[in-house]
Amino acid sequence: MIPDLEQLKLESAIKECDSHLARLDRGYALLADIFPVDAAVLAGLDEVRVEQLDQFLFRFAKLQDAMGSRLFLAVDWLISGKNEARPFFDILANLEKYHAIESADSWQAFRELRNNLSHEYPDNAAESAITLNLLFAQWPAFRGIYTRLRDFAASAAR
Amino acid sequence: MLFGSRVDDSKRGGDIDILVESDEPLDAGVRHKLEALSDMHIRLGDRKIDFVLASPPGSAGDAQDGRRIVQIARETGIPL
Repeated sequence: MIPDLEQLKLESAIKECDSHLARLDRGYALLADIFPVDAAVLAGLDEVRVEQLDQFLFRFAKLQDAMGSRLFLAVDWLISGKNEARPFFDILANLEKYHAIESADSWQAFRELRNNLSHEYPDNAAESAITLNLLFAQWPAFRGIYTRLRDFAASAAR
Repeated sequence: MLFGSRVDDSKRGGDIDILVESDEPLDAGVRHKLEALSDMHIRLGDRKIDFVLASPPGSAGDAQDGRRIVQIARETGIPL
């Protein structure tokens, strides 16, 4: 049984992540028919599609932030029992060591996808299109990173 | 090619600005860019790295690329 405050932090992080996940699942279903995209497709999107795509990217970034800044820390505490500040890559390595996440490298790869979109979308259409296609194709894998971590946390908290 | 503030050893801090010119197809180039960034961030920590991908000078892809940052990088950068 973990102390109440840490349990609350964990539950709050999962609640936030689940809310982003629900929106992302809806967005993924709505956008499926436009992928894969290229520069011309992106230029020709109507306002509804642009909003759907923006929402998907916004929620992806929010989920990634919530996982990185809240959920990873809460699960790391579950594993280590320590609440001290330490480098993010150390936390990632610990989560990987205990199989809470499959690979620290794959998490980092998704961060690069998100960062590349922040830099290039919507100004560099050709590169943005390729990055969007990668993100959309790999969304199920990223989703799996989160659900695996959430399930790990549920088991470890008992 | 390294460009930006990091070419001046007397200056401290700042983003790491890199230009990579490649004639491989863009989708392969983007994948390699993301792999390189991932590797650099794992090795260097969470530093701000601006990685600009461009076609080689004089190529058809370069002729269509109007980005000012590519021009600045070529004029001021140091080949690595």
